[in-house]
This record gives sequence, structure tokens and C-alpha cells, in this order.
Amino acid sequence: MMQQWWFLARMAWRQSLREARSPELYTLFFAMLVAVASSSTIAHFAERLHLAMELRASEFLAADLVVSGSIASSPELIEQGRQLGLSTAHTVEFASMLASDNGMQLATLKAVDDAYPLRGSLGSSATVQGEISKGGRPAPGEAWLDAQLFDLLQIRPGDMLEVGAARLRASRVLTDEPDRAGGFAAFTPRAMINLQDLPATAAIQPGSRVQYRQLWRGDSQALQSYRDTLQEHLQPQQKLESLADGNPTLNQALERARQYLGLASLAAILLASVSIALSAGNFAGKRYDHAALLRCFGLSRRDTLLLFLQQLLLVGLVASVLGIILGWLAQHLLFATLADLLPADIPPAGGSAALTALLTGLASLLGFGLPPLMGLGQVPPLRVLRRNLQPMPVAGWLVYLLALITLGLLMWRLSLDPQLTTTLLAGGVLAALVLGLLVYSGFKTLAGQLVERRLVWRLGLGHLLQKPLLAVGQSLAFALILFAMALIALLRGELLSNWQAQLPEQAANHFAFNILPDERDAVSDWLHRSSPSVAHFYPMTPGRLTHINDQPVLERLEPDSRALSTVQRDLNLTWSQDLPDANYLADGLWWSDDDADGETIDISMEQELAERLQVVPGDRVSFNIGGQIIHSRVHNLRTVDWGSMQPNFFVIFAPHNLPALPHTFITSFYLPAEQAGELRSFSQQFPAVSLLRIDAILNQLRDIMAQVTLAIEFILLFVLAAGISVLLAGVQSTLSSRIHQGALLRALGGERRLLQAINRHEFMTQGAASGVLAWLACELTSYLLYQRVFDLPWHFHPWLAILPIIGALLVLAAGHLGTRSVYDSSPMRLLRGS
Amino acid sequence: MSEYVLQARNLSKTVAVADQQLCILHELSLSLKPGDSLAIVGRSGSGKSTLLGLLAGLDLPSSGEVLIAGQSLAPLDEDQRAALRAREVGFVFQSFQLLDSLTALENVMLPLELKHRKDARQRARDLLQQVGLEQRTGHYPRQMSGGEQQRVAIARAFAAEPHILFADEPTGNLDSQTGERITDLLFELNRAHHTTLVLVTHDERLAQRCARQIRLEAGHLTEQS
Repeated sequence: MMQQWWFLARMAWRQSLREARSPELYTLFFAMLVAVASSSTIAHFAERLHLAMELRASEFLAADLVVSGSIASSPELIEQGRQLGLSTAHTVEFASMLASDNGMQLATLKAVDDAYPLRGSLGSSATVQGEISKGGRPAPGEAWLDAQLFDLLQIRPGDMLEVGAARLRASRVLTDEPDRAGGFAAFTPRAMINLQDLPATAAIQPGSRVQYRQLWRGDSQALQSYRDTLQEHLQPQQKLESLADGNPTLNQALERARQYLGLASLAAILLASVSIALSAGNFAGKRYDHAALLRCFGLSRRDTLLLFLQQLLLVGLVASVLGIILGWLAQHLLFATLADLLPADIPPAGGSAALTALLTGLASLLGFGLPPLMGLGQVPPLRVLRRNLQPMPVAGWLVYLLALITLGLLMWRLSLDPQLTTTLLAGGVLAALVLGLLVYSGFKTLAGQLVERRLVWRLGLGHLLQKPLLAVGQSLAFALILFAMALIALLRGELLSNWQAQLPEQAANHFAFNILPDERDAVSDWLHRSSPSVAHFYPMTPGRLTHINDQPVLERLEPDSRALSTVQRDLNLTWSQDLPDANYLADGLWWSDDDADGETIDISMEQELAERLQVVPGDRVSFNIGGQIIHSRVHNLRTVDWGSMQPNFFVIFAPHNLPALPHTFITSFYLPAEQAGELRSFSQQFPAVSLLRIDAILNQLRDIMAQVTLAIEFILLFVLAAGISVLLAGVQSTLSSRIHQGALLRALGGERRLLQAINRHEFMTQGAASGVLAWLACELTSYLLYQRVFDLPWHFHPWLAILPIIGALLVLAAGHLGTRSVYDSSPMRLLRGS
Repeated sequence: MSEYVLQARNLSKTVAVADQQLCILHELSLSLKPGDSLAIVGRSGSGKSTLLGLLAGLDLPSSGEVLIAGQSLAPLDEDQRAALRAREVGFVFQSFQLLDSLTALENVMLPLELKHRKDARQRARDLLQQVGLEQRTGHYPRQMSGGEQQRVAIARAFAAEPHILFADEPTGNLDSQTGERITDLLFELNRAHHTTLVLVTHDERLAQRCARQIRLEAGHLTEQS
């Protein structure tokens, strides 16, 4: 058995060497090369881009992983992290009174060591509103204060101030602090000092509320293993923070970016697979005689099939290795080209990208290349005498099932999103069936009309209609190229602009909070005078979620539940009669006056939090708000667009039946950079109101979008390359009959111009038909994607009407390229019987 | 106007095989008048098909000259030669060479349409009737037997009223009975249209029916009658 297998392998090897220059093997080789090179580049690129984006995002934590809590990490635990090769930094945060000669102010003080920050950098300036420089940290004896504090304490950079018992120089203005933008925990004015000065301040006394943060940075494997260690040793007063449970705004952006990239890669790989299927079909078709001869000489059906299969795999492997190298080079080139736009220290992708590409290529080869090859095992040996004997066709359902399974696997591997995968698969099958039927009946009708048409039409379309099923298949394949390109254009253009539209130029870049109710109108007047865009004013009160259905919430949750961090701290709660902007109902209805039964207090909960807490509408949830216990009922669940840059809340109360609660107001607004100076007068007028700048996170989001856009444009190039390889393989499959027709027409006196006109008519008709199909499929898919996946309103895309024209031109160009030999074919072929 | 409809002067054809020059045809000359019929016979590989290709302007000689209706082919490019073929020449091939995508009627119309003849459809119908296939006009080649396909090919060959008809083993792919009938048809139409016939064949009986025969051996003319 093994011996026979080895014999066949050697035979396949020799056969491949002999046939190295045969055109169909050549096409198959190139189809595989394009498939693997594009998926390798995309895998490398996507992985590195993802790493780059995570790197960017981790700057918001100033680390990859943070242990925070009211007690410091133990020296043993820190040592364990160091031994794993991780680097670490330590910060201590607490509230302290700052005093200058002119005043006193309570501020949040952060003491940092010389390793801080591990990711990202601090921003500071020498003067208030001065030029911001990146990097550095307060040296011993120095304090960096935010602009608000300089104002409140009425001092200038360089002045001395008292921090607890220590006297430090307020040397610089603190403008950016990477790990501050994550939430609203620190809404008071901020100052930063060196950790060495901390004992001198004597600000930390037993019973002080202090937050110790141990920051960690390193490679993901070491981080994961340290995370496992931490899980075992973490004290109840400590918690882990990492990117995954960090900033919902960024997480959402990263997830969308990943989905877009996955979709675009899928399109490229789909096309390459079609190209493989076509070339494998050509390969098999040319080998029926060969297979018949081998069968005649006594090779079994199984061995015949195995021989050609091994040959196919051999070609596939060689092409895959070359493709991986090419892909690796291409992504290096790409990163070099985009050096100005991407972060400088992008980590290299691991070997998994190459492996992914190899597996993707081989899966496509087997899934799409095997069905046409199956016929070679079925060739009857009698074909050596009667050449018109064709092998029994492989059962259609088997072919489609195999292709469908491969397609599903590839989609799953790429997108890892079952909903997206199912949507695309279902859309694809439905579209192929409906559109295939449509084009089949279209061609049939055309055939009826052809009788009276001109010669070029009859010959051009006659060629197409001779095998209507093949013509339908090819049209669908060409349509797939156009569809993929249009879909990517749609994603790149429309979805991204839709997404970016949620972050308009005048997206809020400041939050104002701690607005006292009696200051609300005055603050609102001031903001509306200075800012072109001010969000709604939401009442806000801190409260802790204590019970769900009368069960203490901590008992209800698993020790490792991601909801723990949410329930262990105060939530910012609000109340509103109306559903706020950028909030969408997911389950249940919004409340109305009819719901005011005089007793029940209704709440609306953010859907993801509800899932983590295992809460459904109708459940009872209790809160402790300033010592007051509020029992409420979940009225509905909502999704929140965290990227909207407006005040967003996990829990919203219905105003009816809610007792009076102590509260302040929060809002967000946009202030152009040149008006930043006006905030000074704002702070003077409303000293109690806190301001938070969020430009940093906005810029970060815009950077991510720019990178995703670039990546998608780049992938479009690969889709185009894969598409052209499909076209060439498609044209090649009909080349021999074209050459024959060309030679005959030449012999009968047809001029080169006539041959060109015939091909032009055929290619343009087929291209245009494919364009129409692609248009329909694109509308159908975009409808499904918009409605089911991206939650965006769908509308008709008239610009897609350009697809039939692009299709006609594209197929014409590729057809012309692939059929040049037809025009030069010597009519002598007819006499030589070749 | 020359009295000869087809002339070959010192035709030679050499091809490069590996690093050697292989001579397929050697210094061959012949002339045919309107209505003549010539059979080219010889073993496989003797150069028969090469000669036919050169005479019909499908290929160019290495040296020497071919004249069709007094027009030398040497200065013509491929498109000009194609135009000359459309005007002067018809073909019948061993493997019929019908276009699979066209019906019998459309195949016969093909050379007429290449000459932009308005009456292409009617004339093609008439010819199919002459070859006894008036009932099969709408059929595709794959729906016909070998003999029927060759009859369509003969109808096509005569459709454009060529002055010279080249036939390459016209009965080579047919059984002897069908071959006989095809031969009768070919000669009958040849007489009726007063066409010059040049045919390549292995079949001595077919060759005998031509007014002249030449025999080729390794590219040399060895016998002429």
C-alpha cells in the first residue's frame, strides 16, 4: 500500500517536471500563488495591524496589563512578573490637598516611578496653553499640574507649592496622561509627582483611600502566564485591568476594524478559490486522454485519481511556499511604504500568519480543485478508442457541498463571527441560485433572438451559448469578482464614512461634569455661546448595584466574572424620559407616561452589562444611592454607541416614581482648539465644574480608522490581482476552442479585425451580464449586512450601475490579454489536426 | 490575366528542428488551369499537407512563390491573404472543421457572410438542399453523423463560389461506403461549379478520379501523371 503510494508520488513528481511548461499547470500554479500570496500578505498585514492597533489602544492603559487596588502588589508577586521577562512600573493615586500662597485645592495626586508609563507617553508644556511636548515624567522635587490647578491655585509654572507635608516645584503643565482617558473615575483636578517624594508628603495615612497600580508590559505569552498566576494570588481588594475590559469605545472600534479586514480578506480568498476551481477544471479536462491511457495500461481508478491528486498537491505546495515568501515580502514593502502613517514599533507577526496562508491555500485547492479532478478517476479506458467518451460527471451536490464546506471553513477562520459567516454564506448561496437561474434564462432567451443577428453576434454569443451552463458558471465567477470589489468599495467608502459620520468633525472633545443643579442654566448659556455643539445635560449620581432579584449581586456572580469590576465600584446613574441619542433599544420598549403606575421604578440597562449580570427585562435590581436603597425593575435593554462621545450610561432610570436624589449634571461639548483659552474664564466663573479633555481618545479613534481605510485599500489591490487571475483562468478554459475557431475563420478568409470583433462582442456581453449580477448580489448582501450585522439603515446604491460597464471593460481587457494567441493562430493547425 | 488559376514556382519549405534544418518540401513547381483536378498522394510525413497549406496560402514557403489567380502571395500580409482566400478559395478538411456553436445552415453561411453577401441564408439553404441535408439546417454538428458533417463542410466549401477547392483527406474520417458517396458529391459539385480541385489523399481510388496526380516522397516530387 505504502509502496504503491510512494510509486505514485514519484510518478507524479516526474509528470510535473515533464509538464512544467504546460499552460494549464502554469495557470493553476499562478492561481495558487495569487491565493496564497494574497492571503499570506493579508494575514501578515492584518495581524501586524491588529498588533499595532492594540499597541495604540494599550497606551490608554499605559501598559498591557494592570493590577490595581487599595493595596499594593506584594514584592513576591512583582518578582514573579519580572522573572517572566515582563517590565513593570508602579503608581500610587490618592486625593490630597494642594496649597499655594494664593489658595488651596483638593486634587487627585498620582505618584509615579521612573518606569512609568510603559505604553504611550505623558504630554506636558512649559506654560499653560504652551507647546505640548511628549515624554518624560516629574523628577524628584517636581510636580506637574493640570492647567485647571494652576488656575485654581493661582500660580504659574516654576512656582512652589505644598503637597501635603512636602514642598515641591510646580514645574510643568500636565496635558496628557495616557491612563486617564479610560473612564470617569478621576473627575477632579490632577497633579503628578515622583514616587520618591511620596513619603515626604506624608499624605498617605492609615485609612486613606489610595489606589495602587502595578503596570506590566511584555509579550503576550508571558503576559498570559502572569495573568494566570495573578488570578490565583489576587486579593479581594485588587483587580486586573487589560485592554479587553478597558475602554469600551476603543474595543468597539477595534472590533469593527477587525470585521472590515476579515470581510475584505474573505473576498480576496474567494476569488482566488474560483480561479483555482477554473484552473483545476482546465487541468483535468486536458488530462482525460492521459488518464484513459493509464487506465488502459492497468492503473486502477483510485490510483489514477491519486496520481493526479498528488500532482495537484505538489504544484499547490510549491506555489504555496513561494506565495508565503512573496506575501511576507509584500507586507514588508507595504509597511515600509506606510511608515509615516503607522506607529514606528510594530511588532512582527508570528509564524501563524504563514501557517494560516498555507492552510487557506491548501483548503482552497482541495475544496475547489478536487471536484473537477474527480472526473479523472472516472475516465473510461475505452476513451483510447472513442475519444468522445467523457467521464461520468461528479455528482453536482457533492461538488457544491465540498465547495460550500470549504467556503464556510475559510469564512469561519477569517471572521470568527458566526453571524457574519452565516449571513455571507446564506447570501452567497441564495444569490448564486437566483442569479444563476436568471442568467441562464437570460442566455436562453438571447439564443432565441440570435438567428437574425449579425455574424459577429452569432459567433461571439454562439460561443457563449454553446455550453450555457458553463457560460452561467463563468458569468457567476466574473460576477463574483465585481461583487467582491464593489462590496469592498462599499465597505471602504460607505460603511467607513457611516462610521466616521458618528464622529463628525465637531465631535465633542470636552466633558463638563460636577455641574450643580442651580448652575445648570448658567453653564448651559456659557457653553452654547462658545461651542457650536453641546450635548444634552444629564443628571448624574453615583450608585452601587447591590441586589438582583433580592440576591446579593456578589453571590450571584462567578469569581472570575467580567461584571465584577462593574459592580465593585460606583456606577454613574442617570434618569431620562426619552431614549438618549446613540442609544438603541435591544429588548423591550422605551417607557411612556402610561408606565407610571405610582409604584414601580423602571430602569433601562446596557445590553452587554445585562448579559454579564445575567439580567433580563422584568428582573428586580436594587441600588444603593448615597445610602438610599432603590428597588427597580428592568424595563428594557439597550445597546450604546460608546464611540458617540456623549455622556453614556450603563443604567438609566425612568423619572416617574423615582424619589428625589442628590445629583449633579454632566454634558459634553466641542470647543475648537483656538478657543481653548476661553476655558480659563469658564473655570473662573464655575470653579466647581470639572472639565475633561478627550481629544486624545478622539485622535486615537481617527488614527485607527485611517489605518483600517488604508488596509482595505491595500486589500483591494489583491482582490484585483486575484480577480484578474480568475479572468485569465476563465479565458484559458475556452482558449483551445477559440484558437480552433480563429484558425478556421482565418482559413475561410476572415480578417484579424473580425476575430477581434467576435471576441469583443462575447467578452463585453459576458462582462456586462456579470456586472448586472454583481450589482444585484451587492445590493442583496449589503442589505443583509446593514440590517443584520452593522445595524445601519440601508438604501439603494445607484452608483453600482457602473458595474456592468466596469464588468464589460474588465472582461474585455482580460479576454484580450488571454486570447492574443487566437489572432496569431496559424490556419495550418486545421491541416495538422492540432 | 494568367491562364493558370494556381501556380507554384520552386516551392521549398524548411523548418528548424533542434539545431538542424529539416527540408519538408524541395524545389517544387506546378500549374493548374481552371477546372483542373489534382491529387497529391504520398506516405504520411511526405509533405502533402505542407504543400496543400502553401498552395492555399495558409502558410508561407521558405523560398519560391505561389500565385493564386495570377496574384503572388509573397507580398501579401496575413489579412490580405485572408481576403484573397475569401475571394478565391474553398476548403474541405479531413475532420470536417465545422464550428460547434453554429447550426448546419450557419456553418454554410459563414464564408458568404465573410464576403458580406446579402443572399447568404438563401444560398446556404440551396446548397444544403444540393447535398441532401435540407431537413437538417437547424441542427448542430454534434447532432449529426460524420458523413452528414462532411456534406455540410462540402456545401460550405462551394458556398462562396471559389475558383479553387482544396480538400485535405476528405474521406479520411469516413467509412468506405460513406466516403464513396462524399467523393461522388465532391466531384459532382466540382463539375457543376467548374472549380479547380486540389486534394490530398491516401486513397488511390480517390486519386484516380482526378485528372492529374503527383506523388511526394520526402518532400520531392517523384511522379507526375
